[in-house]
Amino acid sequence: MKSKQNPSLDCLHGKSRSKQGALLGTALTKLKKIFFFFNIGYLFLFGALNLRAKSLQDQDYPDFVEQVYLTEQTALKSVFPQDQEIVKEIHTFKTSEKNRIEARLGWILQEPDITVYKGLENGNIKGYAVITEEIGKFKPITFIVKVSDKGQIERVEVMIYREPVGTEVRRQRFLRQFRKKSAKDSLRINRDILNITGATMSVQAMTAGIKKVLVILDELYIKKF
Amino acid sequence: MNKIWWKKIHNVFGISSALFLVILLITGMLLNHPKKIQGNIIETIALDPKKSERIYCGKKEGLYFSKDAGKNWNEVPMLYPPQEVVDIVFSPQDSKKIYVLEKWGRIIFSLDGGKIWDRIELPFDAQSEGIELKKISIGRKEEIALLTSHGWIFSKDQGKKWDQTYFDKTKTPLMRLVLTLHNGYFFGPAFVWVYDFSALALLILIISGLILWYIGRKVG
Repeated sequence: MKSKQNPSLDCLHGKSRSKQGALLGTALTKLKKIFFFFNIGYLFLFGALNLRAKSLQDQDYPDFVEQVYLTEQTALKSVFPQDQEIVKEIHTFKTSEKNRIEARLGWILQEPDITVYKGLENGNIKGYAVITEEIGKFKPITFIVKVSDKGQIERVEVMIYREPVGTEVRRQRFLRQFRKKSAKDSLRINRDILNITGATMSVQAMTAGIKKVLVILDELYIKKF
Repeated sequence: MNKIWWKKIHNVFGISSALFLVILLITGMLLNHPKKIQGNIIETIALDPKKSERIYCGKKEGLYFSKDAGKNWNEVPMLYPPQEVVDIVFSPQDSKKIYVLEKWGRIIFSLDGGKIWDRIELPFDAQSEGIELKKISIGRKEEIALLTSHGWIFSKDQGKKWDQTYFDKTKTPLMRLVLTLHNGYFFGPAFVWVYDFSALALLILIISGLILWYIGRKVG
């Protein structure tokens, strides 16, 4: 179709059109570059995620891997001050105690007894520690819980971890969250205790185990004083 | 029909398809992360057969209980709080016996009206094996029938032994296969993010394509 515009104006339009064309060309070149790097990045990410997904699939039934971080002796040494005498006591639950603990936990208590380590200073109890186990995803996690004479958590340490996934629960960033918690705290995941993505089962097990220790110690020793 | 007409048709269909794709991509990404949009809605509800003002309800975040016909709700306190509760059943013989089913986890039960709870072991690990627990039914002699995504299992003795005649954990239901292929879980959990990234890339392509078309139209 022929243009009906004035030839002089046509000339002006032609200039602005060529300018716009150049701008479009530059924009297109830039976009091409962006898409080139975008695609390269995309391919790398795709490959990395593919490998990660494959490794996660392979871990559905992981091999039994026992990682001992602390023995009983080293764990007790690390939670009790040096000047305290450590006294071991195996407490068998009476029916009335079992009933009270179960009512507070809202869960059946399978263990018939509990081993409590008391830290004594001049004959006075300064704290308690319990070494306990809770099933994570497939295998038990062994950990120590140190509680003050007032029933507040002072320290939690993972002693033995038996699965290749979820080892993040032994990091202080996670364990520090339990400090100063007592039997009165509900210890709900994602409310009181932040969950770890990819280690949910281990987080649940540790949290439940710690809550159980707090309630048992409170019921057997702390409430009485 | 001339070239310009075809170009117009192409543009109209191109833009409408692009908008359709934008809707699909955004909703697809949101559906891949349902926790972000679903909230804590009630999944199941059960009335105590003897006192109908006592109600239990199951939510994504746990098990809740109301003593006053649903006016006030409290979470049922327990050591291992259930998640994604999909079914709650009272025993037909004794309404103090309550059974609760988790979607990807366990059957938990209480024999004393919900004060103390315990779990029933299943012959498989639902979460790792991708077996969805759907419904539970309790018989007059406390028999348990459990419906899963891979068939159903039956126990006469409170879960000590399970009859697995109508259950096959090796088979993948077609619906689940299609669903996991659609959301990326088929290739592994990380692939959900790959799918999200692809959707985002497609979204950028659509938007940049539209911008380029608009600029080209102005220049041309």
